[in-house]
Formats: sequence, C-alpha cells, structure tokens
Amino acid sequence: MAQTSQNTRSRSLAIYAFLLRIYAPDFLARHRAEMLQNFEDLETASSSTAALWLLIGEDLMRSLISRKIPKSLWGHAAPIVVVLTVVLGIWRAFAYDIVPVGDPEAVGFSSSRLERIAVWQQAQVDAGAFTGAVAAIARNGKVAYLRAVGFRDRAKTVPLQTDAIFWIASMTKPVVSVAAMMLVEDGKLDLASPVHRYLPELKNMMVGVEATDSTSGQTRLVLEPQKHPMTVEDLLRHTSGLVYFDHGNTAVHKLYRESGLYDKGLARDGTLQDFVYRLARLPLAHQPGEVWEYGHSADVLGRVIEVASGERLDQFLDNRVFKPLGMVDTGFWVPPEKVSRLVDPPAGAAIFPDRDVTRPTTLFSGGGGLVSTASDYLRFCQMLLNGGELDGTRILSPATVHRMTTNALPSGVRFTGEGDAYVGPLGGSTWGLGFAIRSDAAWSALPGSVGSFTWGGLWGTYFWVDPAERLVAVQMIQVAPGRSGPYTRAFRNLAYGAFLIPGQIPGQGAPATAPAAIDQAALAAFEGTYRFASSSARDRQERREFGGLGIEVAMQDGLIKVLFPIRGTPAARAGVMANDVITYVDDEPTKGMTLGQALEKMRGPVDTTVRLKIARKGQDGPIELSIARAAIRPQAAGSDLQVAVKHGKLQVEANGALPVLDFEKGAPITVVPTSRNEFVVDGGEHTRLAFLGDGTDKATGLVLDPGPWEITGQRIN
Amino acid sequence: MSKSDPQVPLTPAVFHILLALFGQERHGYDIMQRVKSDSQGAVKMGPGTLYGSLDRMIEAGLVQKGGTKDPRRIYYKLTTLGQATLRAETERLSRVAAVARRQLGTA
Repeated sequence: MAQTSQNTRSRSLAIYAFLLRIYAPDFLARHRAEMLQNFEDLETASSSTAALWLLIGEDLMRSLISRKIPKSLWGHAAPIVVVLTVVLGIWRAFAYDIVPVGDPEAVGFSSSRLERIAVWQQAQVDAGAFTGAVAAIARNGKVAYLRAVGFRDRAKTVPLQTDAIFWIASMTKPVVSVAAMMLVEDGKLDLASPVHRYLPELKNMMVGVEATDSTSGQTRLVLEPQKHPMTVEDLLRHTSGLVYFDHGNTAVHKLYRESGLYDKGLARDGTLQDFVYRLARLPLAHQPGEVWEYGHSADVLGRVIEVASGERLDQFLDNRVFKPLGMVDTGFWVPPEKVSRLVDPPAGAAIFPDRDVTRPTTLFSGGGGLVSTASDYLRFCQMLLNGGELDGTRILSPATVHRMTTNALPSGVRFTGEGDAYVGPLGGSTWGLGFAIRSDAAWSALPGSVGSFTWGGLWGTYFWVDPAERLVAVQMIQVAPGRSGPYTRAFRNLAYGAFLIPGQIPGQGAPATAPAAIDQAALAAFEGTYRFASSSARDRQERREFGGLGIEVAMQDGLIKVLFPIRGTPAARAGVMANDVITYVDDEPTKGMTLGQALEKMRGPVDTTVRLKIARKGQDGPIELSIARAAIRPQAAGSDLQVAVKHGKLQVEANGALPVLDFEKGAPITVVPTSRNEFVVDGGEHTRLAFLGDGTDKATGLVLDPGPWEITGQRIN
Repeated sequence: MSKSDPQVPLTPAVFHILLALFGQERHGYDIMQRVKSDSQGAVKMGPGTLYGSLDRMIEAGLVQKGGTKDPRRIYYKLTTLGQATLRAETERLSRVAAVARRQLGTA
C-alpha cells in the first residue's frame, strides 16, 4: 500500500517536472527546485488527486496568462495549447474520480458519526436485508462520505465497490424531468400545451369513472371525456390520470393489469411509441389536473421528449445530461465491459420478467429504465443543488431548478394511489416538477429541511437534496419492492445524525479558529497606550452624503440614552443634553430597537432632517426636536486606550469614556490574541478593534467596523 | 517604479503574499497555506502564481530573501517598503469596504 502510493507520488512529481520544463523553459527557472518541493508538500496535504491536479492545472494556466508573452500568435498560443492538452489529459483521467474529502469535519460532519452508516449497513447485510450498499454524501460540494459495504452478488462472493451499478428504477423520473425542462428552456416544449400536441394518439383518451348501479348495486366503468386536456405539466407532476397497474384497485387499475401493459408494453425489444399506443387504448384513472397519482406519466414524458427534440430518449439524455454532468455509468443498459460491476437483483423481485439490464434495449423507459452508480447520481443531485450547474457546465437555469423543486400542484388536488404515503399531507410533502418536496415543517417522521426534495427507486435506491443544509445524499441498495422504507429512513437519520452543530459549517458561519497559545513575551509586545483618531482621508463627497446629529449614545436598560452632545454639532445647538432619553426617532419608538438600529435611524445624509422625541428628567412632557444632520467626527479621536498584561492576560481599558468604542474607564476588557501578531476586541454591537503587531516592537490598532468613519490608533508610549 | 512610495492598489495575489509575510519569514509552501487560510479558501495559490508574483515583488522591492537557514527551502520576508505597502493597501481596502458597507445599508 505504502509502496503503491510512493510510486504514484513520484510519477506525479515527474509529470509536474515535465510540465514545468515544456511550458516555460526560462520562466521561473530559478524557482524550479522550490516549486517541485512545493508540489510534494501539496500532494502530501491533498486528499484528492483530482483536486491536486485541478489546482496545479489552474495555477499553470494562470501564471502563464499573467506572464506577458510577446511576439507572434504562436508565441501566445503554443504554451497554452501544450498546457491545456497535458493538463486536460491528466484532468480527464481523474475528473470522474469522486474522492472523499480527507476531513468530513471541514464540511460540518462528524467523521466518527458518519462511520456509523457503514456499521449500520454491515448489520443489515449480516441480517440478510440486502447484499450490499453504497452510500454517498456531499456537503458544500465536497464528498464527505463514499463507502461500499457488503457484496455485489447474492452468493456473497464479490465485495461491493463504490463504483457498483444499480438499477435505479424510478430515480429515472427526475432525470427525465430535467431533460424535459431543458427542452422547455430551449423553447421546444411547452408545459401548458396539451400532450396531444406532441402525441396525437393520446388526444381522445377517456376518463374511467366507477359508477354504482342504484338498483343492482353493481359497480361498472363509465367513460367520460377529459374536462381539460392532459398537459405536459400534468406529466411532470403526476396529475395526468395515467397510473400504475399495481398502485390501486379501481376498475381502471384492473384494466391496466388485464392489458399486459407492464410486461408486454415495456418489453426491452419494444418501442416507446408502441407503449404510448397501448396506453392510449386504456382510460385515464382521473380527470387530468385534479388528482396526484403516481404512474406512467414519466414514460409518456420520455416519448414527448423524443418528439419535441427529434432525438431518441437515450441519445438525448446521453448528449444533454449524462455527458455534460460526467455521469459516465448511467444509461438504459449495462454494456459487457461493465457487467462485472452490476449488482444482483434482490431475492423475490423476479415479478418483472424483462428487467435484464445487461441486454440492450430499444425501449427507453423514462419512468424507470436507468442504471447508475452512487457517484453518478450524486453528481446529478449536486447539479440540482447548484441550481442547474456542475463543474462549470450549466444544463438548467437556477430559475428552472427552483420551479422544479417548489410546489407545482394546484390547491385542492387530491392524493391517491400507493404513493400517497410519501407525497401529500401524510408524507409532509408536496410535488414539484419531478420531485417530492418537503413542505410541512411540523411533519417530523424524517429529518430534513422544508424545501428538501427527494425520490427513490423500486428496488430501494434513494436520494435527497437539502438545499438549506447544502446537502446531497444517495444510498444504493437492491431490495424487493416495498421493502426499502426502513432503510431509506435509517440512512437519512444517520446522515443528519452525523451533523456537527447545525449551521456551523467552517468557512460559512463564524470562523471557528481556536485561540492560539501565546507566550507572555508576545503578549507584552502589545502593551502600551494607543491614541485613536478618525481618518482624514475621507473625501468630501462621502462626508456630504453621510452625517449625524452629534451625540454619543448608549443603550441602558433598553433605553437609548444620550451620554453627551458633541460640542459644536447640530445636537448641541438644538439643546440635547446628557442623560436625555431618546424615545422616538422620526415617529418610530426606539423601544425594542438595538443600539445599532437606533444609530442607523439617526444617521443619514447631511442636511436631511431627523425628528427626535426626548424624555428628560424633571420635564413633564416629551421634548420634540427637529435637527438637521451634519458631518460628524466620532469622539474616538483623541481618545486613549490602555493595553496591559494583567495576571497573564491581555486587558484593554479606556483612559476615560470611549463611547464609540464601547469602553468605559474602570471596565477593562480581557482579550485573547488570535495569533502572535494580532488580537481582536469584540466590543459590543457596532465596534470591534484589531491590534496588529508587526514583529518589531510596534503594534497598531484599527477599528474594524466603525460605521461611516475610519478610526485607527497608534501607540504613543 | 519608485522604490520608496507604496504603490496601490495591489492584485489579490500580491496583497495576500504581503499579508502572509507580515511579521514572519516563510517559505513558499507555507505562504500558500497562509494565503489559503487568510482568505478562508477564496484565494487559491499554486507554485506558478506564487513565484510569478514573488519575482515581481522582489523586483519592486517589496520582498526579499529571508535569513532562515534551511537546506531544503528558501524563506522570504517583507522589506520596509513591503510593510508600508501592505499598510497602505489595508487602509485603502478598509476605506473601500466602509464605502461598500454603507452602500449595502449596514452603517
């Protein structure tokens, strides 16, 4: 193992050395040794070969472009072409190699808790629930988990690998829905159009209604015409009235069963066109647009795609979805060279005779024909999470993805059929254009944010996307129909159970850096008195645009209290006094406002007017003042801060009152340095101070968020 | 280019290299890591970008070779001009940020 990685490493280094030599014989030549050393460092630290080479490739390109190459067109083009060729060649070799990040913690997962997924899956394998499982989880676009557990075959002889191929069945539907929406974006497909505009054979389908004869008590099938013609949108949201033979027991479901639609109609040597003709002879189970019932809608949608695009569905998906997204193992059948990766069908699933995916097919079932891998489908999910784009390739607009993953069902729609346990009020969810969407925050049977969307396949494959958590996850298993529920639910619980504190994803929320241990000598370097002054570098334009009243205020017991008016400002001239309480700003009560909000209300463009209501001790009624704003210098100017080491800790104290900085004399604040060179004071609502040491004996201070002003401090002793 | 006055604005790469070297001699890989953490992953710097920029910075008198003895690596440090330039750019950026903050409504 160690030997192998050593070999790989020296090979990579050789490739890099070769690249450097061919791409710039003179450029950076004197840094060549350093660059090779750095490459080794980078490779050691990198968890993914693909990521390393992407960084290197991008780096070479960028440094090449920034280098000013004179002379001929060839002078420009030659090195770029060479680098592109070689780097892209390398990149291609690794591009589809989704590698787990070394550090799930970096994307908000506990690695030890993620580990429990494999433990749980192994227990299921041992118990005989399924022969093997591949799970893939990514957050923030980084794969945090990708593992295979168990075996590929029912005889348990071949260990399962992460690139195993599964029949994903109904997870085909979201793919076909995406394809349809691409055609909508192309202007070639209209969701509001009747389906018969594309498939005239469906024009005169009748709706089958069960009527009970009042005298005999017998029910019989009565056929009604469609009230509103079935639209393309109905196909995407399962409101077409097309159903599955085994998802209900009405007279129409019985007709579906008797017609042999499923075995003969979906035979692998058939065609979609024939299948649609067979469907056209059956009645619809519901009036289009009125009832959500899961069924053959996506199969018909597949045929609509063929007609609207002029391409076979398999070709359309290959060209427009699978190739652009790098879904290299997804298709309607498994070619011979990949058969060794195909996972055995589950025991007890032989009721569908024509599901031998090792045979080529001429019938491309948009409802359930695809095979895929966890990595491939994860890429599809990530594309959706990214708003229609993956690795720089966009296949849908964000608006379209949003439209697909938000409710598309009209109000008052009924949910029937077997799927109503997952979609509709019982499942806390609704349906978009191709996905079930979590809509009910109170529905607590499964973890997941409102707005997360999902679907699964007949043999237990399952995915979901949780945009609020930037999470995508896929679990591939093969179990008999109807048995997958407990496994998908457990997988979801395990995944959310592995979250670190929600919302604290490093790099997204507050920086989660641990305070460094700093020695006393380094602390002492910060000691001294700092005088703060507001910057004079602001130009006049800014001052004219931004002004205030000229008061220092503080929040005391929920009241906005004037500490003092600044001499010579509008507030001082208008007679505002220390200890006044500001109760209203422009007729808005300050009660309930934060200090920051109140300040924001009072600040504004110079020469605009603000009305204050003031409560003053000893005055009966409120004092009402109208004051024009002027440019104000903050009172930090000329104020001093004392920084000292006390009891081994760094303390900051004002020499007097320093209201803008929220410091009071006699109220020292203990601070913790963030590095040898820097400490930061988090001083309440609107102000933070940073002190920077420069490695000599000097340190300077800076107010990080002083509102409209610029305040810096210099050590004066 | 005058060697006495700080020239701003800087490119992000140059700014981040100056920042990484502030108060500390570092070798190339160390600079890259520091840049990555300072920028919270937003600025990715590989060897080509790094040494391309370093060469120009040495020429402009912002950076010079450091004194740390290490047979495997070469260390770099800021010159006085480099420090001044970093300060000038920091000031400029914080002024720009202040303007932006105000225009984004968070005075």
